[in-house]
Amino acid sequence: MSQKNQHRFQVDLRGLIELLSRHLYSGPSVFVREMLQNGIDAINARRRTDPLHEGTLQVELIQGKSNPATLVFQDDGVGLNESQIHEFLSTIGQSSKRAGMVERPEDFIGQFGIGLLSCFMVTDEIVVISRSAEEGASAVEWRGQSDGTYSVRMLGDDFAVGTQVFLRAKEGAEEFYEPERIVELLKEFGEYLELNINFVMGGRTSQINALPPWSQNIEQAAEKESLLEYGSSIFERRFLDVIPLNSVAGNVDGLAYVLSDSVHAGSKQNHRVYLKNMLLSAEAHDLLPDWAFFVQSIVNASALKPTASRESFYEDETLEQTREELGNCLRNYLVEMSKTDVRRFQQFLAVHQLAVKALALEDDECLLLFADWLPFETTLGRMTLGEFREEHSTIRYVVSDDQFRQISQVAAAESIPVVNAGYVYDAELLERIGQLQPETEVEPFDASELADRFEELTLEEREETVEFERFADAVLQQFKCVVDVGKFHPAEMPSLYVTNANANFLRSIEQSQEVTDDLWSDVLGQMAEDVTATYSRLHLNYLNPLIKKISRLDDREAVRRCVETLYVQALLLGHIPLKQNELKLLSGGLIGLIDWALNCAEGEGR
Amino acid sequence: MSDGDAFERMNELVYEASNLPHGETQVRMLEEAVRFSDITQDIEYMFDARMQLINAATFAGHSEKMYPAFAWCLAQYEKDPERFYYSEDHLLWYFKWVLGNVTEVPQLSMDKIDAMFDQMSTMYRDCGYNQRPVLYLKACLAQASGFHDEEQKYFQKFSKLKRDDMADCSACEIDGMANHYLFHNEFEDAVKTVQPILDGRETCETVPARTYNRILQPLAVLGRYDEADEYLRKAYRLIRNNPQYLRAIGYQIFYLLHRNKTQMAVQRFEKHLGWALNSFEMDSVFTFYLAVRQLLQKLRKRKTHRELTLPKAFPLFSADGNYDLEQIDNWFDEKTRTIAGKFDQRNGNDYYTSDLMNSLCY
Repeated sequence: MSQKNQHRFQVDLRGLIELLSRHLYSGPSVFVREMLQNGIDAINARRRTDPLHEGTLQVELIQGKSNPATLVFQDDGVGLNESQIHEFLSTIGQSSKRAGMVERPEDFIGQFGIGLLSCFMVTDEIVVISRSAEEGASAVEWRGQSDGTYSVRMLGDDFAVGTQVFLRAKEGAEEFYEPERIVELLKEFGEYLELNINFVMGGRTSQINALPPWSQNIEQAAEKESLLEYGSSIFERRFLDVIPLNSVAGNVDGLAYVLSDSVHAGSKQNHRVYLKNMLLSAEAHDLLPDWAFFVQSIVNASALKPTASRESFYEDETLEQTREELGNCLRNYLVEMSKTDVRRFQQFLAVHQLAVKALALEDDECLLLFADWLPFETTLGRMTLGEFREEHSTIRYVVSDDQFRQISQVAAAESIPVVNAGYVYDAELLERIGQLQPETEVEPFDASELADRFEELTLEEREETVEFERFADAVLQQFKCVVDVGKFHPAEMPSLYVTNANANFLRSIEQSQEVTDDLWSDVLGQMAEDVTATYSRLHLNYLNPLIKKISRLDDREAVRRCVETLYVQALLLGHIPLKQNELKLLSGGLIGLIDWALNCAEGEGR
Repeated sequence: MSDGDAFERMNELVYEASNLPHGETQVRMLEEAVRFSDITQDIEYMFDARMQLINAATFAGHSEKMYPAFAWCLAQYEKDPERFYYSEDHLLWYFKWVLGNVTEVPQLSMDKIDAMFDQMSTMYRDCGYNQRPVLYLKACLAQASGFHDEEQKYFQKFSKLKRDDMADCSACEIDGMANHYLFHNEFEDAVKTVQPILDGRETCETVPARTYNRILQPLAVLGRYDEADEYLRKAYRLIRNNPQYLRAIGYQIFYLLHRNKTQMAVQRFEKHLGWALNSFEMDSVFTFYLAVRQLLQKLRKRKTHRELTLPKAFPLFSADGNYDLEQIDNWFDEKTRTIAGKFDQRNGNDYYTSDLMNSLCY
């Protein structure tokens, strides 16, 4: 294509700004950030030729009686000459910060020449008056309209070097021209900047700047107290402690606030992140390692790259190193506390055991250090892993609450120590401990092992029950359940139903097959093909008087009904959903019972 | 336990599970929630709890648990479509997962799979959606089974249809496109395709985790090691705690061996063997075991025995941690061959035992 035939798109500026404000920026308020940004960059540019230039940013609010309010952003930076004005202010996507430089100098925060445009979110006309620091340069006025047109005129040299930007409130954006709101926004974004920022209204000047929290000395008790208060006011919640954060890679300083309440595993906390002292985002994520969900932080970074929206950081190797270094700060805090202040560490664990477990899972050294402090539910009561290990060299665990409930009563009565690892991270942690410390045996507890601990039946008892056991076994054959008669505690418990993962999976398959059509029934059948069919087991307790009586019944039909009812009862107690044939058993058993009771009553009546 | 208690306990479990990251614990809690819902005998609770389980199981590498739950829900929906109209779109969406996962289940016969595809296709049509997802999943199945022409045919048909509300998200589609190119050995196209994902512009629940790992081989073949090294590292952070990424760990081991980082490959093997032993997703297990075999071959060149920290569930577990490498290599050899044999038998070709093995190792 020849040069002649090349045309430019006509871009509708209004539509573009709409897009920007809706998708790139989080809302109109970022125009304040963009204006501060431009001012800082201009001042830094001037300092390169005039290192002693101090530089000041001034924001003035002029509230007209009948006219809309006007905001004036003024800097005494490097300024722009006429050709620069044409070039930089009137080409979207262009920025003076990029021109003629291969690499952006480090003290430039801004990266995209769209900053000024963001003002169209709050005004219909932007007026810029600028005088370049170049010798002999005159002031230039640029007027840009939100429809994309602009005009430029020369003003002479009656102006100070620097740039003034005039914004007049547009309809619907008045809130950004309220003094409280604008001061709040200036503080929000620029409070911790090193440059002086002044706010002027009605002839009165006030300073926006404050001392950044990350530059304060946290070692001093009083300062720490005030930093905690500061954190509470920023995040609007209470904190247990505050920890300093540092990273060389990202050149980061900051504070991590320890939440005073426990949060769920892997939750995401909002972090307040500054880039070169300017607020980047109040809702940043992914700055800390995944396990660090017990803190909310405020950090200032100088060596991380912001994303295009300038509201989070670009995911690169530096960010990764930073994340690791910041993680180390938190990690060292915990390690130190566990070594020097056990009581505090225990209190900490009571609130944040999940975070500590998450860290331990990723960090073997921490795992070994913290393992003994971690609290677990066991069949012998709630205790730390250390207390458990003092008494037992083997850690047996079950992986679900359900399983734990099934076995806990018997295991407790028989003094069999089993750990409930039914919550997130638990099973993995215990397994890892077993790998790291071969002297500690760690193994999943197989409920079928319970039976090995049961008291043996005497020879005499065996003889008494052998026939009963065989018959009961035959009754439950169709339910893929084996019957064992044994003696176990507590004696009040007539039976114990023990199942396993495979049996559970097969049960869910059969349960669905009962309601599905042929295709899905076949599909499920094929799914289950490779699963070893295992029988569940019903242990009947010979210490229990009821079981003893049943075993001595002569009436086979009565024994059958009893065994079936015991079986269904055991399923119900174990919260195991009944299949169709088991439901039938339940209703059949009840009807049979009524029938039997009526017969008895009739017999007595006769 | 009264129905009210069961209902409360079910709700608690569902709520607790919803706050957990995807993984074993979440699945176990929702299985329990399903059991409590059954006690209430309220069909809608039973339906909702199962729908939650389907979601959790899929994202935790336990797709086998999705099948009975899905079949149950589908049966209830067919019995009374009006009653479950509120979940119709979810059910349609989950149908994609069901058929997307048949590539992991060699014991499912092709005629049953075809019949499921027919049912899915009818449901999509009846509910006013186009056949795009059906065609895409057919292409995926053809891909996994090594049917080149068929894959091409379905993929082209799929590409011609417009996206509607049942279409995968754009990140997933880009990832799928890359898999298509990789299947036809078009490495450069694959890498070019996933650039928006690598740049961080396209993400979703499982992207870029899946993409980073799948793209290691093409990048290595193209000599772009710096990038590949970076994605390897980034990816591990995303996948190391979730068994649904077993296959991805396999890809990582292949890449680490290619880069001569044997020690790191050993660590991946030790740490994630437990996932494989516990998995029903046989294509993923196959990829992982094949990678392990390549690792063991390499180790055996130097030594006959070696200290390894392997889980107790490993059938050749040794308490002193000292392993005869030939012996365990034989075990993995036998396993990979058995799995490959099952897939090939189902598919009626020798893709797993020949082409796939060769294309995974580099």
